[in-house]
This record gives sequence, C-alpha cells and structure tokens, in this order.
Amino acid sequence: MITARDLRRDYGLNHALAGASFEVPPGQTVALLGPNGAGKSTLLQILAGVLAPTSGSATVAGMVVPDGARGLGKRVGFVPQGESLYPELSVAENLRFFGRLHGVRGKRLRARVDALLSDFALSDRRGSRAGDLSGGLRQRAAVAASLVHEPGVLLLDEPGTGLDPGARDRLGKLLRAYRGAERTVLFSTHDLQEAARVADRVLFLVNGRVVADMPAAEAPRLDARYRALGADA
Amino acid sequence: MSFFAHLGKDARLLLRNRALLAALMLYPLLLVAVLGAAFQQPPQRLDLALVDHDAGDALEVNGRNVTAADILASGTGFAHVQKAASDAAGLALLRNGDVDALLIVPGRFLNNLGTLGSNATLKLVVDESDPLRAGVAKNAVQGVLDDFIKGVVGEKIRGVEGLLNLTVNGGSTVVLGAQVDILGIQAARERLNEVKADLPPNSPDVQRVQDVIAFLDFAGGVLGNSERYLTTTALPLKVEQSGLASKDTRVTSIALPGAIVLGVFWTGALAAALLAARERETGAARRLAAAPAARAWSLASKALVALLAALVPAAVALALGLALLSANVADPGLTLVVLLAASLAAAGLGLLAAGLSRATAGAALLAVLILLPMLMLGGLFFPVAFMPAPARAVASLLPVTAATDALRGAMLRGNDLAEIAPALAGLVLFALLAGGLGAWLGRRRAA
Repeated sequence: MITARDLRRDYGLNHALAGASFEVPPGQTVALLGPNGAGKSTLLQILAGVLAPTSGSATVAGMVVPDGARGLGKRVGFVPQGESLYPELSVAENLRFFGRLHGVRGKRLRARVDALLSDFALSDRRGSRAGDLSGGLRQRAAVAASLVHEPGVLLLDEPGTGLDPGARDRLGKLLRAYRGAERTVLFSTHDLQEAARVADRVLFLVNGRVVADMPAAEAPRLDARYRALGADA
Repeated sequence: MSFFAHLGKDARLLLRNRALLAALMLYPLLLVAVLGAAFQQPPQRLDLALVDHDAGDALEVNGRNVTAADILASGTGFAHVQKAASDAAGLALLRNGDVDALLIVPGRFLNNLGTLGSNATLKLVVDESDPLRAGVAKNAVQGVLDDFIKGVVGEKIRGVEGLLNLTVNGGSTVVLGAQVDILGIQAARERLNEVKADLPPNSPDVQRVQDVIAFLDFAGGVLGNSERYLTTTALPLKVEQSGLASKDTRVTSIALPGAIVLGVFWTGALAAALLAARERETGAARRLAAAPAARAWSLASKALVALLAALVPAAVALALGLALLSANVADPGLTLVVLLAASLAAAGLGLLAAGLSRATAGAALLAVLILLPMLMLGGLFFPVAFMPAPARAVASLLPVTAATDALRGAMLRGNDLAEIAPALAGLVLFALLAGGLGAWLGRRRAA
C-alpha cells in the first residue's frame, strides 16, 4: 500500500531525507519514530503529495507520488502537524468542508459526518467552533476530518503531540479501530510507548534514513538507544 | 465544485471573527467619516494679518470710500482680517500659524492706486512650510485682489472717460481750485463751421478749415468710444469658469472617490492577507495541499471573498455620499466596474503580503506597511500632478493611483470605458501578478 524507494529531499544544503526506503502492506498500522529533524514530517508530506521528493520514488494507494493528477488526495487522508482545522468553523463545518473538498456530497456527506462525529465521540460538540475545543477534542476532530472521504491510507504527523495521556489513549484506540484489511495507517510520533501500543510495526528514522524496522512489540527494548538519539538531536 | 466549498468556508471565516470584521469593515468607514468631516466644508474664511502703513487713506471705488482693509473683505467676505501693528508683529502671527498669510500695505498705497499713471504694490507673505495652505492663501488673496483691481481699473477708466468726455463735449472743470470752462470738440467744430460759412467760397482758407473739421470729426469719434477702448485694453481677459462634473461639485464629492479607494484597498488587502495567512498558520493549507481539489479554487475563493468584503465599505461610503453629501456619480455602471477592478487588485496585494509572511499577524502588518505609502502617494490626499518627478513616476505604477484616477473619472469627470480602460487593465494586471506571486510564495511556505 505504501512503498518508498530511496527517497531524498534537500532544502538547500540540508538533506531532510537521505534515501529513505520501506514498505507498508495494506491493513497495517506503522509508527514512524525519530528524533527532531529526522525527516518524519518531510517523509509524510512527500507521501501525501504535498512535497515533491528531490529524488527517489514512492507509491501510495497505487498512485505514484508526486501525483500530478491529484488522484492521490482521494485515496489518502492526511493530518498535518498542528491543528490543521479552521478554528472559526464548527467541528461539523470543518468535516463538511474537507469532505466536499474530497468530492463527498449530499446525503453521503451528511451520513459520513454524522458517523464520524459519533465514532470520535464528538456528536455533542458538532456545533462548537474548532478553536474552542480542548487539545484532545481538536485532535480527534482533525483526524475525523481526514476520514470523511474514507481514504485507504491515513497519514498522521505527530497526532499525539500536546495531548494528555488520557486523550492520547483515546486517539490510539480510534486509530486502532480505523485499521482494517484495506486500510493502512502511517503516523509519526516521538513516544515509543504510544508507538508500541497503537502500531503493528515501528520504523526508526534517523538523519533522513530508515535505520530500524521491527514489530511494535519489540520497540520498547530500544528505548535507551532512542532516548540517546533524541538527546543528540 | 470545490470552489463553492472554499467560498462558503472563507466567507464564514471572515464573518465569524468580530475583531477582524471591525478592522475590515468599520475602520475604513471610520476613515471615510474622518475624511468626510475634514472636507465637509471648504475653507470659508481666510485668516489674514494686515500691516497697514497707509492707514487713514481712503479711495473711492464704485462710488464709495474704501480703505486697504476694506479691499481684502470687499465683495467676497472671504477674509478675516487681523490687523498687526508692525511687519514683525504680522510675521509673528504667521509664524505661529495664527493666520494663513500676511499682507503688508505700504504707505501711499491707496494714493498710488487711485492716481492715473501710478502703480501700487502690495506685499504678500505666506508660510512655505505648509505648501497647500500657502497655495490656497496665495490664490485666495490674488482672487480678492483681482476683484478689487477690476473696481479700481473701472474707477480709473471712468476718470479718464470724464476727461475725454469733457474734451469731446465741453463743460466746466476745476483746475488748481479755479473753475475753468472747456470748449469741447463738438463746440469747436460748430464754431469752425461758422467760420467756414463766413469765408468767401473761393477763399483758400475754406479747404484748410474743412481739414480741421474732418480731423475733429475723427478725434471726436475715437474719443467718444474711449470707455470701450480703455476697458478692453485695461481688462482684456475674462475667465468664465465651468467644470467637467455633471453638476456642481462640492469638496466632499471630490474627496469621496479617494475615501472609497482607501476603504477598498484597506478591506480587500487585509481580508485576503488574513484569510491566506491564517489558513497556512493553522496548518489547514497543508491539508488542502494534499486534497484533490484544484489549488486555484482556494485562491479564487479568497480573492472573491476579499473582493466582496471590500465592496461593503465602498457601497456604504457611496450610499452615505449620495444621501448626505450630494455626491456625484456620473456613470454608476462604470463606477462599479472600477470598484470591482480595484477590489481585485487589493485582494492581489493581500495575497502577496500573505505570501511574504509566515504568520497571520505578520501578513496583516505587512499589508498595512505596503498599503500606507501607496495610499500616501496614490493621489488620495495630494494631487499626483503636484508631486516631484521621481514621486510621480513611482505613483504612476501604483494600483491605488490607477484606482483613484479611474474612480474620479467614472464618478466626477464622466469618462467613458475607453478612457479608463488603461487604468482598469493596470489594476487587473497588478491583481494577477501580485496574487500569482503571493500564491507561489505561500505554497513554498506551506510546504
């Protein structure tokens, strides 16, 4: 479902990605771990079609990126770092807007918005402005907004950042619930425990390269080494 | 179509932020109101300091005796004259800004003014540190003096005419206190005719007398038309004033197009800048970049919402101008076209500001920083034609200048579409270039 081959992305003399390669099969949830500046956000943006790689290739949901025809957007849900919602719009309005942007209309749109608000326990806040929500609720709404068009691949850039442990657990459960035979999730995080809890596999990204690829259950044993990497970053 | 999704979203973003709405809609109206109040009445009275070294003298003009101070207040009631005891005292008043100009009347001024063959001189002092005030004062005093000069010249012409009439028709006058009878050309001619009749028909003197009679006929004819000749020689030029505007134009009407342009650019540029920068700041722009919808719709939506927002203060200012200030709108359709083009240029400017800045606050500040010099140089407050050549060259490139000139053309001068087409084309071109550059820069920043 996701294939990356020797992806490179340069910002001037800075190599944000220096040959990242990996595969994520359909139905798997993968955590992307790495210290600050490892290239996680750049990698996710390339896979979402927001950024073009300097070199290398990738396919996501069967589409080659960067996707000139923008067909990729219909198959991928992307939750960038930060709020990524319009604070002045209500939760339901945000969901409706992003749904329409991905071609969902009419009854289907209404049904999808209602279902997601229910799934993400946001029904009672559907009329609240996104800017008035707590961090946890806002992040849930942000993830919900990326699922209106039922993408086969979900890419999330540090969805747990800034959330308290309870909110992070709830978000993890939602991601696990979303995972299915045809649905692939790739999310970045700094939290090894969260990665182990939510993901099937963990990729370690350091200096723009994937340096370790292992089952999530084995990841906590790298905790000390990971912390050392973070301290160096 | 995703354009309408963007449109609904952008309109909501704008309408739901009260502080933003106030800054976008009310502030330009406040500016318009302030400008309107400032230009509500043209200067009704000019404050003049008068140093009269000719005090006590008077001159008969149009049958009444006038003093130098009367000259300034004569006819127009325009000047508020404040007498100063000396040149130094008058200059002090001018330096303190208490008066608009200082007029110094030299000794024997009225005497020279009223004497045939003499010239009178007035000295006018203005404060050049305020060129507009100085210019208005100069023109106003000159206008007052022009009116007065007409009276003086008429009086002098009547004096000359009296002498010439006496020469032609004869009569009595006083010379050095003694009553003197003047024969006059007509009487002289009659006496010569009598002399001629008494002469023998063959006398050679008959022809000589006849030659003198013919000369007197010529002189009488010329001198009889003296008033017309003198008047047209002394006052050869009359100026009949009229304007391009379809009806009488008040200063408020003239100020209104500038105030509207100010509102359009303020609201349009800030609305577009804030919408675009806020989208990037919240991270929504990255989400949009990953969406299948065309990016152009997102930009078009912002431009349209900013354009509509810009039209609100323009429409309110125009309505107030029409209702309260008897403003002119020579061509309403063309006025709307100009407003649309100006709003589009303002939106382009806002997108450029958003592209140049990372944060919303930075984009707003940048938009204001770009706008302010444009508004100063754009002919809203000071005529571009009066600026120095370098400033004029810069002003000619600004969209505000084009919008102000085109709007004045549509509202006041009665220009047609062909005449303001270059300005409209300039505005649209600016919108495309600035908006395109802003979008490109914004895309780079969003990634």
